[in-house]
Amino acid sequence: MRDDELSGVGLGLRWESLDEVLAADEATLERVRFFEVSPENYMRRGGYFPRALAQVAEKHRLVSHGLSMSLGGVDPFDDAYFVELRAFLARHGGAWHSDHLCFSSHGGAALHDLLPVPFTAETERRIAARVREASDRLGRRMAVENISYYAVLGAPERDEPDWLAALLERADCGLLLDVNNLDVNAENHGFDPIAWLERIPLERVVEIHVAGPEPHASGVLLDTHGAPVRPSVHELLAWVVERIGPVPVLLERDNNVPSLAELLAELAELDATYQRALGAHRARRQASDAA
Amino acid sequence: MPPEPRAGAPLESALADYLRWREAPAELESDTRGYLERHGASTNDAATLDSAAGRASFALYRELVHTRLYGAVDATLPRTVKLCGTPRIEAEVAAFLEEQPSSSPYLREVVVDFVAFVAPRWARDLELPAHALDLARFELAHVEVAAGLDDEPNQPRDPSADQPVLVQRAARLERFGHAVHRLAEGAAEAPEPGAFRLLGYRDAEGHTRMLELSALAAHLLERLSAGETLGAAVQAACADAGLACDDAALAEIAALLDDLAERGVLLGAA
Repeated sequence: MRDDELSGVGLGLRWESLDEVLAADEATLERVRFFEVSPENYMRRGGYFPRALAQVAEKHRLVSHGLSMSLGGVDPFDDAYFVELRAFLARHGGAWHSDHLCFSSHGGAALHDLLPVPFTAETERRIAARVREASDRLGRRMAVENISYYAVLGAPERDEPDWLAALLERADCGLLLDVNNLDVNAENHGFDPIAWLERIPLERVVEIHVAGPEPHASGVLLDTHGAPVRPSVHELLAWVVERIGPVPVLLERDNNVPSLAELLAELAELDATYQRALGAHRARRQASDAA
Repeated sequence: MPPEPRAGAPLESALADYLRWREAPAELESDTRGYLERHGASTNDAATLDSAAGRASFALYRELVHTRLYGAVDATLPRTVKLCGTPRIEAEVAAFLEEQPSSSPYLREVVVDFVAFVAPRWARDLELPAHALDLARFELAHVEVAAGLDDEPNQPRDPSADQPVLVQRAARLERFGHAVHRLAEGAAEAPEPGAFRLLGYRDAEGHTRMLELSALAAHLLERLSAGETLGAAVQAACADAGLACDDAALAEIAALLDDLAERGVLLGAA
């Protein structure tokens, strides 16, 4: 399912930097291998933003990442949303479409947040079925993203890696591995992120997300996408890339969005981590082939 | 009263209700296990969440959801939020989430639903400035015009009297009881009350414009937007405005049609 032609570091396309992206020359954006867009920001609307997106799409690869599918929910899918999303993806979509392993609406109320689901056999089956349904409705492969969660809902029947592995297998879908979310969860809930990574099917990773969290007054680390990427996230990224090889890696920044120049400087640092990890990956393969 | 929990998702129901219902935080705080078990949670699940950390995690999600929605309202209606004050808007957001939450997957549409929710409340609320609702609707109209659907490519043709006229899809006519469109940014005084009709539309560069219309012009545009033929719309608009459809009215209408066509609001025969 991985798009072999798409790898390297990309940038989340946000309205705050859209004008700068449009005005930037080719050399400025040389390192940006792709832009990721949230379709909900462009669907069911006209005017400037869809037009600007079309201009970006003329020059750059796009990857789509949704916000509102509520894969973990129990409400029926929103038919109109899927029709509009399918039309959007026909125009701007890539090899897969991704959304989050969460619920974001319940009882008909759209709550517009990434709310956690219990790690149970029941949710695993339910979400896998919804991922398959989403894929059928969109006529496109789906990938699911591990979220940051601040509550463990109930007594887990399984831990997250087991639950996630079973869900990916049952849904036969890709994994959008958010190593920042993993880092945030590891810190908030006190577990070893490498041990977590060792137990998930890395071969299903189609894309990696990185971002920077911010502390909440309560002491909890919040996944705000509002700060630079932490060194620990660079380390997790490198660990994964060293093992799976070329993959699209996305830098997300949604709050406290700096200038495009600052974003590109951070992207360059990320690219350096990525390239070093790719080098280590090649060395591993050579050693493996030689053995 | 909260609705019955959704079958098969007791913990998700417990969390969702906690985010929406005003009484839920107090209920969870005073009797965590009872709150969760009333939602169908197992004894084991309820016991796991019956801790300071469990309650704090629910409270954090409530804060995140309310803050996000407040932020969307503030980003769309900044002058209204300033006029009404943060505590009032926070209270309205809480009431909206509890009583009539949006089902839209698009955050910008949630604000549309929010304004529809507060409209009857604010219309009868004497504590709020009288123009608060008009200001909210005015700010929202700007955003809705900017995001309105684009028109299909069209080769304009002059309409005959028996043809309907294409109206720009993004254009919208709004009626206000105060001259909120004349209110300067940061002005302390209340705007003049009266009957005002504003046409929001996108100009050739895609910028949102607001145009004040006469009563006759507003009636005509409403009827054209409803798909009436040009001839019928002209006759009916004159009647709506209480005017004889005489040469003077027809001259005003002809000038209006030319002006709206030049602005890109009227797009020729449908």
